[in-house]
Amino acid sequence: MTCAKCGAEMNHQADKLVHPVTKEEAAGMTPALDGVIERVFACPGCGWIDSRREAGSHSARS
Amino acid sequence: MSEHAAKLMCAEIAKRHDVETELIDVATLPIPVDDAGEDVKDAGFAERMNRADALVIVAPEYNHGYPGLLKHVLDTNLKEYIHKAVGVVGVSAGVFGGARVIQNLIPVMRELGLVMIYWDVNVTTVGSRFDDDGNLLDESFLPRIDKFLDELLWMAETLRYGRTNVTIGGGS
Repeated sequence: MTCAKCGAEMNHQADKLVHPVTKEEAAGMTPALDGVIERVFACPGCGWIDSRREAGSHSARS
Repeated sequence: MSEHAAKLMCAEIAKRHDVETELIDVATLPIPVDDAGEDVKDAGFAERMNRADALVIVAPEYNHGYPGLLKHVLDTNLKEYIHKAVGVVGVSAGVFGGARVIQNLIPVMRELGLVMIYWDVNVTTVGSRFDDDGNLLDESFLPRIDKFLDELLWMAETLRYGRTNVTIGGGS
């Protein structure tokens, strides 16, 4: 992921289990995890944080 | 009375070298209460949380718990908090100094991805700790605040390095 603030390549720093927020996400989530993975990134250049939901779900609220 | 404690914490943080701080009163944020979570995210508050390396939550204790408004505001963000340091200042009218609100916040902080330090500040009998202008009347609090901030800043710096340099799972 590229930083929206400074353009640097961001570091994938966390995978957070979150609850699905749409029917599509709920249908696509992995039962073993009982949720959806939100991949969180931090920019080494400016510290900016961004995230995206793992493939198979979408980030409707982020 | 928690406002006096919050201003005291800001003043102590401002004494630290190379640290910027900002006081956010959750009661002033334009966050609707007819929904919850990231659906009611305030862009300005989210940006401030994104920039922050650490949070100090100054929380009054109501009926052994945290104020509903505090939880409502915290719930509007998630990615902005992950792997960032947090310390809690408990405030109460009684002698326990918000010990129960601090304990009750631990599972919330954990689920939000915040890393809670082991130092707390307990503002006991808050009604007698400040004068009407918010000046601290009892300086015995200051050494504890100093230790709290030492730990918070260490954790903030360490976690910033981790966020920006250490990849989860060791891969890309």
